[in-house]
Amino acid sequence: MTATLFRHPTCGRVNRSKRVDFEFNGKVYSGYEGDTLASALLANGVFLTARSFKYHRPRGIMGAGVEEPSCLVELLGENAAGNHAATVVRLQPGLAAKSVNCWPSPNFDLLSINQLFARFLPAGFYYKTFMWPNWHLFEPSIRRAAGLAAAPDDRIPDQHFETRHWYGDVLIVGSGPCGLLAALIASRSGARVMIVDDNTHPGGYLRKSQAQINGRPAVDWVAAVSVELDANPEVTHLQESTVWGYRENNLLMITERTPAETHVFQRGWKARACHVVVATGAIERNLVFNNNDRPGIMLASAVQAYLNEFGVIPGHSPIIFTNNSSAYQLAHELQAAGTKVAGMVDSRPADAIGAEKDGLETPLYAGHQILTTHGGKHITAVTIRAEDGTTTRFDCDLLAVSGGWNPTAHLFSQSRGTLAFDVDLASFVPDRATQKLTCVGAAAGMMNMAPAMAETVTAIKAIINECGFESPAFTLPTLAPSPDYHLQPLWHVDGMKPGDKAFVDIQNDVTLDDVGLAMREGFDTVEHVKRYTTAGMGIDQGKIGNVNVIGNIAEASNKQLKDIGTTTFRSPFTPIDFGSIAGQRNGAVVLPFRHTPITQWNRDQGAVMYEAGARWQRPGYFPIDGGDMQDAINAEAEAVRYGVGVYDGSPLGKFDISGRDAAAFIDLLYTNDFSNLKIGMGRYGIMLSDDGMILDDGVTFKLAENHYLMSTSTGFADLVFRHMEYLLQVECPDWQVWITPVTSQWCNATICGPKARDVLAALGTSVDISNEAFPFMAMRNGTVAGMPARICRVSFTGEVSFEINVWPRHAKDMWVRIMEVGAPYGIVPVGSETSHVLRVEKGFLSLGHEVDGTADPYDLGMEWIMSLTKTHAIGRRSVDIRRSSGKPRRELVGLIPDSDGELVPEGAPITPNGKRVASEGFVSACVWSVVNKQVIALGLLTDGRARIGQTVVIRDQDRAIKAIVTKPCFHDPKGQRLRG
Amino acid sequence: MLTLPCPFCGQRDETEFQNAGPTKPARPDADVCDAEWIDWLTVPVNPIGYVAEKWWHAKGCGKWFTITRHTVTHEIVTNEPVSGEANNKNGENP
Repeated sequence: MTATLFRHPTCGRVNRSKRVDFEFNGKVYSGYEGDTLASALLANGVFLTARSFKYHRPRGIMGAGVEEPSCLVELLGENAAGNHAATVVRLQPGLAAKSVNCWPSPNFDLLSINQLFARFLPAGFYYKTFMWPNWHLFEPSIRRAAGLAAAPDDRIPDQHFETRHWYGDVLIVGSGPCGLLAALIASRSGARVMIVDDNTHPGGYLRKSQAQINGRPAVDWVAAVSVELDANPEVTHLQESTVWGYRENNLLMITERTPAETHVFQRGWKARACHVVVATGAIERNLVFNNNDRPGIMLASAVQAYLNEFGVIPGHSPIIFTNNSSAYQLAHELQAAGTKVAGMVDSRPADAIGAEKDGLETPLYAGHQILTTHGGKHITAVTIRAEDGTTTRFDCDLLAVSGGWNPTAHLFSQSRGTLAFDVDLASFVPDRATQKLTCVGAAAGMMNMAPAMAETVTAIKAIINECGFESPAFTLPTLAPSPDYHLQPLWHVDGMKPGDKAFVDIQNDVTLDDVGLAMREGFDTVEHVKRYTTAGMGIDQGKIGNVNVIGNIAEASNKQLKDIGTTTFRSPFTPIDFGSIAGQRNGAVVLPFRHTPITQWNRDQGAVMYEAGARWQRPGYFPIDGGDMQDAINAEAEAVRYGVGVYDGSPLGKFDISGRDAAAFIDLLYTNDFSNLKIGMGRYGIMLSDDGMILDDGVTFKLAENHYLMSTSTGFADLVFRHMEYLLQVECPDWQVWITPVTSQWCNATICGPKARDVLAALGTSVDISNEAFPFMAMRNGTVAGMPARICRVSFTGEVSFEINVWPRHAKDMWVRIMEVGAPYGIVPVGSETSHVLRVEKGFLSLGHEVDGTADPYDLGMEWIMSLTKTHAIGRRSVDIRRSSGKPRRELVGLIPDSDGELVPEGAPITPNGKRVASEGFVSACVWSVVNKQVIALGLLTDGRARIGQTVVIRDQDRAIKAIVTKPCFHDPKGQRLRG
Repeated sequence: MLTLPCPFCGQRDETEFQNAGPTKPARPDADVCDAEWIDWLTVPVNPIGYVAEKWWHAKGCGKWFTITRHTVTHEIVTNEPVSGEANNKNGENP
């Protein structure tokens, strides 16, 4: 077949001087610049392009745009991607595509054997069949047979996505006649305008038809308007861009699929407008009759688009089947192009057919319907049925169907506007908006262009005024008169039999029978029918079939369509790439890491870096030569216990709290009493949230009267800040307290171990660091190694510790100096794994381990921290209420597992006698103790404190591990070492 | 994505804020019975309609403020200044 067989010599607007070769299913064809893959295939006489989802029936191209249900392709090569409708794929040099869901080809598809089993594959078959003996046996095969294209194997490295934001006065969706009109008038008023359209060129229906404006082809008017818009700096004009989501407060999500900048693959826009104009037009629906899915059966509007936009006429003896007046335009245009329409089958009675038929040289079959179609891989004939039941067979090689037009109300509905059923259109039209948007044109249900354009002018002028601009004077262009749109709904043809393959959803292979089946099984609301049959759940989202489903539900249940309603419209309107949502936001761009000045030093040492809460990067451990991770941790832990170590505690949350009511505020936050804290001393406190759960723990120092420095955990610092600000601003607005987060303003290096004092002395400090002058939990200001520092004696390790706080610009120098001076003492850097070991040996709390959201301070053995006199602290009441119930509580205990030196996983449950029953506790932490040379653990256990000395059983999947319950401290229980 | 009216910064995108749910009545006195305390703590209003709720301009000026929002249409009605008493009248909807 040569290309000219289906390509008109002059019609269409493709660039015939630029030939584009492409590959489809391994064969090479050629088209022109301006073609879509679909138009080029049709021009080449390729009609069988797909196999249907379930039955593997031969399918072709039905539509010309986003409404296309059957021809999905997988793009190969450089920009591999799956499940694109061939009707929206622009023909480019080097394009290679293949059909989905058929193997080896649509022409010879082995899985078409499914057609023989159609009886066993109705809607929902997988709930009723393939069950015995075990449905898991069938699941893999069914899954392999399901689905469409394959996902690309690799991420494409050169695909760069970008995001932009737009704010303006008027955003117009759709650059058809009404959209362009609105944009023109709005832009002339000086408003900031964005106009977005998903076709390659502006004009919408004006390009797909032979409309005339001001006596000339409408595309001339479109071109003139485009020129004016594109010259206006306040106008942003996007084509080949889809507005796919309508969010709150007029936020629209847009994907620009082919930005002018070649290095940007796609651009996502987030656009907010004072007012949105929805000019999205309408989408034609198909008709429901037996075998309405053969290759060669197309929407009438699609045939019209192929003729006028691409110059392609996919047939030589077309028949048109319609229930409305709009399809007659196609007949006229085909006739003018030299293709005689073999028959016009109109289900409306003759007296309902008006001026639309005038001038047609086609036999008109009023009051007739198509009963069925014939042909294997391409349509060859139709059988037409008259009102009295007599049938006649006609040959044809193209069947154009029109079941009427549905306003494209998706975005309007997403904006939470309500739809109403219009009886004349037999479709759902926008009714009441809940945001600032206006629908115009066919999207508003105005199917006749002249009144639609007039109405648009009125609407946009009001919108402009609302935005604060003066509406410019404007003369409406004149249109050639055309017959009014008239329709008689036909939800399915007469004379149908059970078993007819009359598809209501082409993509998902849903027949009218399936709708009946769903309703008989009790799934008779529109949402249930959708889900039971999967009608409307494909990639095309049922754009051409959903209203037919609703109409048939209404007929079958003897109800009105307005009482059936529609299913919920959800974004995206058409499939979009994930990349266009993410833009540049991935990895560290969207969630940056937080670093200390020591991070690079850690990396240089080869530290294994962990994320330690709130995106802080901290060293986990420092690998050693000839040893594994456990060896490295043991070496660090031994250094701290018997020598000296140093760790970077900079990520700890710190807050400077001051003001007249600072002391009262501290007492409100913590469960223990801070009122007698002396200046220069610190105290460990626990903060609860109002429900009595532990929010955070930390040490707060009193710097001066009404001046405190609070430290929190690393991971919860942000949450504590929110908690404090909430209390101050909302509950205690009359209190004078100022909170300044200083987490990043102070870095620290904490020297810990029996030799810590020696190292600090060797560094040189202006502070008297003897135990008498500088006791545990005290704080001193001075210099260390010549740099200003604040030294705090806090210990999270259980050994003597000096936390040396310096300004960030001194942190690295201080650290390096510590490592130098500490070398003779065998100082090592300490990572978070070792900190964990050290604190478990001491039984110190860790948020997220023992503090699991169910344990209160009493459970954790911290009765002493719940002040008996100061009971108004946040959370106190809830703790008391919970404990007063008398239910058994899980308490913090130590565990020594009999596990042959193996660590027990955190979270492993403790069950009565090790049976597989509800647990009585769990292991919260388990480490190798360097001090005790054995595996130790902490856990929460029901009535744990009363069971010290008993043996319990920990379950680790299939293993049962005995453990002895001990007090939760394995080293220096009296705390003498850290007070030294 | 909503835009919210921060009392200091004006209309800003929702992503700059953190939500803290419907406003609570003033904190009960220490002598209320357990049931009342638990109610205050755990039972917020949950209307199909207008609700007064707290937002924090976390990625902005740090102000806690109250708005009244319709839970279906997201219409934001008022932007009252935060005060311990003024906007906490039993959590009832205006």
